[in-house]
Amino acid sequence: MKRFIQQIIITILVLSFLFWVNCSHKPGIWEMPSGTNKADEELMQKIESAGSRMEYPNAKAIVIEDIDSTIFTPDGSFTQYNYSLTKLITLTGAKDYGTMGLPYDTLFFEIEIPLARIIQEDGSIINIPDSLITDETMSDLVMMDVFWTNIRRKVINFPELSSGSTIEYLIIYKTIQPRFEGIFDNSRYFQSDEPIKYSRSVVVGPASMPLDWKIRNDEDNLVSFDKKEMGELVKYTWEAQDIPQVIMEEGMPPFTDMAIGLLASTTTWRDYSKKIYEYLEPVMKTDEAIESKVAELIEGKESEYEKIRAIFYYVAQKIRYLGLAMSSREGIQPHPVTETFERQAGVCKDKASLLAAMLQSAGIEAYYVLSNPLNHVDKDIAASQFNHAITLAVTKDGKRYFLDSTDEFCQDMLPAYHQEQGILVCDKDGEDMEYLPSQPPEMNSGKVDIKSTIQPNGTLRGTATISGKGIYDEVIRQVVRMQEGAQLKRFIERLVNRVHPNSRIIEYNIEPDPIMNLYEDAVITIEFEIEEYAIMAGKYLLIKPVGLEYPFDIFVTTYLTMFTQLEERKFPLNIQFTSGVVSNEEIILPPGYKAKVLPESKSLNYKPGSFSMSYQFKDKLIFRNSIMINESEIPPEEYEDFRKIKEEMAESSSGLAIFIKDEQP
Amino acid sequence: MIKRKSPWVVSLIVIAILAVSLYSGEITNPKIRSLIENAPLKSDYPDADAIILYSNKNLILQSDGNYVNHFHYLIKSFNYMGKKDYGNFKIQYDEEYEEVIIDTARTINGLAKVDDVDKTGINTITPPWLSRGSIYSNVKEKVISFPSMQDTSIIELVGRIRTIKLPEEPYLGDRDLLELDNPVLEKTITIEVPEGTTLKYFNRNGAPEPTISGNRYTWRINDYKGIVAEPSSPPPFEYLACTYYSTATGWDQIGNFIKDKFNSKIEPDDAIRNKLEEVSSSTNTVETVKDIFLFVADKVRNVDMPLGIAGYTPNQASTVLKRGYGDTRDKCVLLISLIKAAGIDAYPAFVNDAGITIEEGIPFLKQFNKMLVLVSFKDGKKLWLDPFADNCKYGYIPDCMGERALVVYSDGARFEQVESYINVQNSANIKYDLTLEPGGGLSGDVKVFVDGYFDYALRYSIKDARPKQVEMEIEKAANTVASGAKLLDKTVSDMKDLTEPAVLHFSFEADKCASIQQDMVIFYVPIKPFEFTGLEFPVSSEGREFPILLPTAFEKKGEYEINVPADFNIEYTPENAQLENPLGSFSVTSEVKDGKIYYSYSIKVNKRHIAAGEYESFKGLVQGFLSPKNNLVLLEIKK
Repeated sequence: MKRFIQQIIITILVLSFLFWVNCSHKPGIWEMPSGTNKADEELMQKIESAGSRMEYPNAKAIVIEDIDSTIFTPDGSFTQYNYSLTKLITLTGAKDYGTMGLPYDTLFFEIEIPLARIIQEDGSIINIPDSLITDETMSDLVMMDVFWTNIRRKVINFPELSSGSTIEYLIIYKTIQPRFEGIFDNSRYFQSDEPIKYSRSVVVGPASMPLDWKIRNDEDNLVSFDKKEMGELVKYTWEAQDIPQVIMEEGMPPFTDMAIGLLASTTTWRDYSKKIYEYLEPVMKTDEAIESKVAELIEGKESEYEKIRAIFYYVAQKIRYLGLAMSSREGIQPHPVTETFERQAGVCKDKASLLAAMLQSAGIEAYYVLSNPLNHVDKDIAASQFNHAITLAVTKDGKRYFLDSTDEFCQDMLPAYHQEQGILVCDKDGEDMEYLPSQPPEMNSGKVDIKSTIQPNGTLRGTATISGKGIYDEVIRQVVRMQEGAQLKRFIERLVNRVHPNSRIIEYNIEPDPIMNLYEDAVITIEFEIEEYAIMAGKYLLIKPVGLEYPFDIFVTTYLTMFTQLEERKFPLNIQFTSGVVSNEEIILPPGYKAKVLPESKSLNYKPGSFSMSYQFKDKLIFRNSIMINESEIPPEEYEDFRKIKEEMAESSSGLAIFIKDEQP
Repeated sequence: MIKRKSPWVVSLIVIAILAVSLYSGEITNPKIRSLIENAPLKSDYPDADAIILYSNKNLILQSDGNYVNHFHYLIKSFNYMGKKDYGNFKIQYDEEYEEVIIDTARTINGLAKVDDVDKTGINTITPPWLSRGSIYSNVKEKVISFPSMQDTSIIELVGRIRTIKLPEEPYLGDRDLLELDNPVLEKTITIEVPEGTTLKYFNRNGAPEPTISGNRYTWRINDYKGIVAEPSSPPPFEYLACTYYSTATGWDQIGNFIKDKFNSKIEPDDAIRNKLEEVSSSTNTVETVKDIFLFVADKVRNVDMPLGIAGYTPNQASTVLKRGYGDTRDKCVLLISLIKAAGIDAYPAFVNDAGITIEEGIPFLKQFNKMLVLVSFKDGKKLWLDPFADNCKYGYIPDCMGERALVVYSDGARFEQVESYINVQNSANIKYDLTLEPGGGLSGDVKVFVDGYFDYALRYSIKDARPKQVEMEIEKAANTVASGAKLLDKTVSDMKDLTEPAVLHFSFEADKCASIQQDMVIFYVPIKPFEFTGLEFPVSSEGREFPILLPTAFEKKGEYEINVPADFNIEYTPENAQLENPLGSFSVTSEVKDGKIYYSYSIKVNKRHIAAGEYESFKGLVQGFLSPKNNLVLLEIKK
């Protein structure tokens, strides 16, 4: 052990030295010299040869060096050094880099910034004084009603930046307590939205805790690897040069899913699952209050499914989403379920654990489950990739129900955006990671039925009924829940106005009441009138079906329009869930007209989606159209087909049913 | 003789006390208890998310400049949104000068269930809107998270904000809304001024007169029914009952306060003079000012934060210059200093760009949220500059044109009207040269000319974007002309040159645009290539109670030359249409000549403030223009 500690100390010293040498700094780097001085020749040479806008026309900055070194110990604690040297090559870059935020968690980390400075084009150095480094709460969390004051951000303010300035910093993270005892894991990216000249990551750890690792998204094999055994320690090194920047595209998956990145871990998913369970077990004890509530909720419910539903709806809707810092492992360990129940508030981990405990109290097998509805979780490496918690209930017949109690609007108990995402069930024996299945679009589709009559003067009077399944039903509820009375009427008016600027509402109705009754489907019914709807164009009567451009569709066509504007894509299109909308319409015409030309029926079926449209006329005009999005993520090679659906839809929206006066009545 | 109470009586009394305390929780204030017991139901206020049962603000101004602001709120939530709005109550304060003391914070779900907020439920955060500017300001928010909050819970919050250090700016005045969206049963605002001080006040929008008792002024609102907020309304101060108040003797007092803060910071030093030489070599004063402005606006980073949040003392001009960033105060100081170094007079000016009217009779600085600079040339000409306007053509002042600004001259502070130096049109003109293909495709050229507000909006969207992202934006624009469009070519003027107009030109082709139905072809003339030239106006409602505030008065035009295939007969083009009323006008014309369709539209809105009573006219104007028959073209394929 003593030898091991000696080796650690030596390694730290050696690494620090190597780090310093490789960074080509003057001695005394750890001091903060007062006033300004000049950068040495070698550093200036590095900066000058990094390039400019000529070589990188789409860049605002060039990351010259991005280096980190991490040393971890058997209990999972680590110290990490992060060094960066970035040259700003545009004025916009100088503005964007004026402040830099460094998130950290005070329960788990200390952060030091021994170096933060600017190297100007003439070589003069400006050291950033402490007064320009502030510490604040994380605004992103605050906006989600999470007030964990342990999650903070250090902000470095860089003054005097201009095009040609270079910023340099060193940050040291030291664990106060490991997040997961006995486990070390790491993720870092070799790519950013600016080009990177050189990037290196070094990890040193005990040989008794070998690292599993993987480099993702590196089709061009830019990252090389080296491993050195050093007695009881092992040193892992990954490095890469001249890494191209990622230019963001609208609708692309999260940057972290696309960038070249490293995942590393000393554990397996099963052990990870067991570890979470260890943290969970002490907080899962229920009390009389909880048990009494469970009994009340399941009274009269015969099947396990009904019981699950009753308890789920309670936790989802009655336990408010609110994050208050109360525990020493805030962010990882749920609060005791008794506290969550008493406060009637908690974040995802608290609600998920309470739900599991209540289900167990009802005699239903239930588990706490880690998930990530936003990012892709890599199955190969058991590194921290989860950011959410849900619950699994298993009925006696072996059926599994995954339940997301953070979502209070979800009739199906698991919102559609979880499809194909990774999850990890946490139990005492440990489980392997798995992916949730995909869902056909019909499970998340909207349905619009329209019946209308056109009067001889061209006025249309109609009724539209909007309903849906899965996420479509959920969105309807959200919209209604957030607006009541006159505000809701205004929303309905906006919908109807999408048909025609002359539209007005006669009446509308929303079911169920209350809208949060998840036992009944959500339905909006709107009766409306539109003056001068039918167009008299010379001898013709031109009628556009009310549903032609999907005015009553809550979101599907908006997505389709928004995400098909680029000619081609480098990255997948991330829609997050399959969905669709089907519209059926009947229009009764004024007497005395016959059909001259009806648009041709169309049907397009591609892998990412489909579109269909048909017109028929016999006594009345019958119009049907539908759009289905079959994939939650559309790869670039399928984008063109997906775009064709939008093109077809847009072209069809020019279509009109053309009628002509029947000379022979 | 003293009778000894029977043990039974004593027991009964004890039981009664216990019963009362069990029943009442900790609500001992009889007024509060009564309000809770008799709190209205949602059905009484079907449009409201919550009701203010009781609100009391008691601001005590002390003669030494310190103050205490007591508050007491009792609010009942009616629904999900009410719970969201009030479940986490935020109190803003300046950590350097103030502290917030919470005496009572609790959730009341019936008198028998009262849950106090414990210390984990009171947190101090940096407001999200300050996240890149926290270096400038010590403003924080105290967040009180109410436990056991349900859709119909009642919350009670009692506390005070008091000074812990004499603030930099004396508390001279403020404005308060007496009405908000939600209904109110009882609301009082009391201002207590030091003995011998007079409080000037001005009530707007029907606010009641205060009761004045010695040096205490109390406004009271009872049984206010609430409103339903409408989209695109002006700020609430413009149409809800509010009061402005001040203890200042006049604007000169304000002016002197500002002069004290600014004068020493504005004086040019060597650094400023050296910079001036670098920035401008012109001998023409107008050109010199332009060169200086362009440097300050574009090269010095904007730290976006409302005026007053970080106080009113700017940094030294040379410090701002050195740092390369500044908030509205700092950038004004730098701009003035450089202009002064050139021997030209320039003065700080205060304005409100949020559409809130300045009450010139009630002097206090919080009426303003932004600073401008007024340059005064020797020939008497004046020039208004906004040093934050890094996305505007030189001379355009976004959101402030025509507003009243307080200019702090050396001899006093006076109000002046903000005007543009250049002839700004607030217009968007788009010229289309299009060809309809026999298969229904569309190709062509689009040229976009913008000015004023639209120039600002275009630059804002692409000026600082990467070249690849600019291309993506233009691809998207081409797709709004014709879905599936492929961008063939583009020319973008140098958006960073704020002296030249922003011009955009692109050419495209699309396979599908018109719909071909047997021998009929239906085509809609595209009228919306960019969001900023789109027509998004709140005219879907039947009526309005409150005014509309548009970003600007404007004019938009489109001119089209559409080539039609030789074997198409043009059966129908939009009928000429026009409408003119006091709010504006629109016109649509189309003409067929030599096998081409010449189409044009224009829509003009004369003012940005549309009164509620003018809504019908405005709606008629917009709806008339947007009628689908105004851009429908019908063609027939020749047999």
